[in-house]
Amino acid sequence: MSWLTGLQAMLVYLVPLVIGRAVVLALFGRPIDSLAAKVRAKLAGLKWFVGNESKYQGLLLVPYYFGLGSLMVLAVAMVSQYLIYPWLGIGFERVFFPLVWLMVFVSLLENLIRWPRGWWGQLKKLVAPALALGLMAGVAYGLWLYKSPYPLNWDWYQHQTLAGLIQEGNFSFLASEVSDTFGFNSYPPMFHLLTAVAQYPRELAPNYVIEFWQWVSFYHLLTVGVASWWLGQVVMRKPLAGFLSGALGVLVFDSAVSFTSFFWLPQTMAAVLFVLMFVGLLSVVGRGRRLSWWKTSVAVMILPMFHYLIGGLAALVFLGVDVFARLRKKFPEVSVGLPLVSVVVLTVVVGALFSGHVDLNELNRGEAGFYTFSLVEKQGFLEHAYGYGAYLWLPLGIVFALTKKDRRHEVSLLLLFGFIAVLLSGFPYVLKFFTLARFWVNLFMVIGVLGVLSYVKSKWLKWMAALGVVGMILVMLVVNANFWKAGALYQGEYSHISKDDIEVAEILRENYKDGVLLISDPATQFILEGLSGTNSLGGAYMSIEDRKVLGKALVDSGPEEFVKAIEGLEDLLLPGADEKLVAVSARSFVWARADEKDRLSFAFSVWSPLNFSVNDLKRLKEIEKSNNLEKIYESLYVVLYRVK
Amino acid sequence: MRRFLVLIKDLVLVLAVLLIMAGGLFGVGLPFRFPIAEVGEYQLAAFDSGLALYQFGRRSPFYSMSPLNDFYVTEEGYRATHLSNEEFEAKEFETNLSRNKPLRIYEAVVAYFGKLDPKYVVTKEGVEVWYESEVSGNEAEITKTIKFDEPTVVNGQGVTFSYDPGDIVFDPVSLRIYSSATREEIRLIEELYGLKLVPSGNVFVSGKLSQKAVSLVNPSVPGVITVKAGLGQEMLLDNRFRFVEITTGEKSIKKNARISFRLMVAETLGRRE
Repeated sequence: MSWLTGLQAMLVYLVPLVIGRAVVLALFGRPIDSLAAKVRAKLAGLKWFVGNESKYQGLLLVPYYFGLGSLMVLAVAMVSQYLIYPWLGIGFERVFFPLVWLMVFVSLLENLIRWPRGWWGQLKKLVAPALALGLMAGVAYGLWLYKSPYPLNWDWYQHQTLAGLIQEGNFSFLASEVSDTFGFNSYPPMFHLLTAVAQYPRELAPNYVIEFWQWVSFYHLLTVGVASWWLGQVVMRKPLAGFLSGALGVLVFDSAVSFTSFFWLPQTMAAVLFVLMFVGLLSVVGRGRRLSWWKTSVAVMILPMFHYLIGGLAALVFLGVDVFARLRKKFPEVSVGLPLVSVVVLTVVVGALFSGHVDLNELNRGEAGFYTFSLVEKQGFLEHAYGYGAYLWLPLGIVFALTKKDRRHEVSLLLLFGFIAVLLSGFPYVLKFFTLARFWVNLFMVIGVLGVLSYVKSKWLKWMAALGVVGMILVMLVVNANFWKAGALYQGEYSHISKDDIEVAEILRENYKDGVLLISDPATQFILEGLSGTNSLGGAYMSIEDRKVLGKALVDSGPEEFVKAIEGLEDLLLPGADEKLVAVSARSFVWARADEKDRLSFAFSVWSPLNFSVNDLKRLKEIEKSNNLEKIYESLYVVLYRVK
Repeated sequence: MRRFLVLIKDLVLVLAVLLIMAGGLFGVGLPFRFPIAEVGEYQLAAFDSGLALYQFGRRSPFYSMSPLNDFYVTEEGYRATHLSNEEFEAKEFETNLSRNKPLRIYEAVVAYFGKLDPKYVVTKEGVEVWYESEVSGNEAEITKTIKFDEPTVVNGQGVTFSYDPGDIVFDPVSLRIYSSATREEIRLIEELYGLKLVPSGNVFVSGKLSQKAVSLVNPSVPGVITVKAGLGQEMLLDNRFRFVEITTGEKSIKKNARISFRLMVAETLGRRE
């Protein structure tokens, strides 16, 4: 993998961070708020554990800088698209990217000139945890990449499609107005804007985007580890707690629906940002203080901008805890008990009563049914990630936390119970919230383990036990990765794509980019669109009508009928393409020959590449009898035709 | 003394944490099927009734090697199957797939790194039958071993390889077709695999194959499967009941009787440019 791409992928995090800090410096004159400075002075004499937590105070601002910087990038995009373009007629890409990079340049200067005083003093204390986290993330990612040269995150193709379109100047706050891959507005544009900024102005060649996503996924895993470590550190205020919490964060793979650790996605990024911001809130609440107004505002605004559902809930939780802390400061008699119990009871009752009335066949074309799980299934998913460990350590952790009687444990309990209640409800997609809940599940498991180990006097024996625990989680990770990858074996690798996909994508990118509509089965065109940027017929979210037409054309039509059917298919957003291409792969035939229910469903896919069979070849020969098809590329897996 | 007691208490607690954690490990969800070895275009894995070659991700035939079909020849000259249908239905047997969890967890870890080839072991009263594979590239050598509790007279034994009704079966050397195949199929097989099959006037019904090797292509899935018998073995093809039988007349009165054969799955040949 190219190191240059690795550095460029880092920009996803660095660009907003640099801009955000510069804005704070410009607005407040110094990088830390005055309240924190006062608190630090007060805490300086306290020995909480090894050192004191105020050593992380400056770093607690980092997620807020990142959030503010992201909002700035979004604001520039909105101004470029909705003010400058309509008024001055200058294309989005000609305004947005230069403006953002100008902001980065100016911000860098300001950051360098006003480099934080005593930064090394703060950072050097983090060298040991950073090395430990880096090592664990490296091992975990190495195990994950074993025999998997391409990202195994199926959703990345659609997010890359949108980021690529943004780089070309196609921006809208509503994703459905940019690409028909997004049938409805399920994603806000923040994630894609940051990706587009980081990739600008590189040529988005297939191999480059693959590498970019491999690198950025590793950075994401690192941030998951940092968020987990920090949460453990701030709640329990012990280095061992931070270490174990970070280890669980990195090594536990929630292999159903949420995929927090290995998959860099809008929802997983929102979850990590929430935890990092929440740590700051918890740190302040734990000391009976209030969070600065700008931090609360940034958190509440930015989290839903990464993911409406996950970020929206995260913002609500953040605001709820913040308001609760402010109220409690003003009215000490406000209790945590009543809201906690009522939230849990209410969620479970509402979930039980109403989930049965949701028509799963209607919701998101049946996909909702696929993402609705019974309690037994949910239990199975939990065991894939944690074994039986969660059944003992989680309750133990709750018991130990209840005995602590401090606000950090209290608030953490509130969140844990709230998330559990949501997860237990029978609504579709609730398991997606595990991307938030996992941080608290891990935290309370660590509280449980450390609760038992607190009776151990010897410090090195405690660390030995912790290392033993990490070793066993590592075993679970390998078994879980085996479970997850087993269905994607193709030519000695676990993969969703083949080298042929990359070759076709290169041809598409170089020769068939503008005014072209690519038509194939949902899986093939989803992959090719993500890799090449060539517009497809809705990617994996092809409409039901188009699925019916294409499915019939692939298996049951004469050559001219096939061409006629292809000619009749039109992109929902960009009808009247100058040129139409058809990619017929072995996947296409498996999809077309599947039961109608599967063929029309969003949940069904042909996950791994396949080669042509004799029958597939027979069908290709029939199709090729048409005089209106020109063969552009041919391999054992896919044939690409141009409709004349 | 007090410090020693504290150390003992510490060790007990640490051990308790590790044991509980190890106990928790038993709950980890195992992969649905493992190990899975890639043999050319096909995958080889163990199922409840034996080893099978198949293709994941599409409707695929299952080419099985099973104790339900395989046999040994008794002292009296009868063929005795290793597991009867009645025993299978009544579940009067055990397999390695239902082994204890710690061993399966270990196997899942080793299998992830490709260090474990598929194996199927069936145990019933008095006998154990092992199907072991050794996979290398696009070839797999399958060895069947019968392990009796007591020394038993074995007057030969056999393994069977059942195939699909739609398969095109042919001689891998002369390329003469044993089954039925259309001209178009023959032409497409040549294009896809570079094999120019020779149609035969009559469909071969049943009989011994002197060259001890047979190949088959399923038109719905890619790949050519070639089954080869070993030295001193005989191969019989039955097109009515669709199986290949490899037998050995080797006699034994030991506890172990072994038979092995090679299974070669050709990769899709060439590249259509």
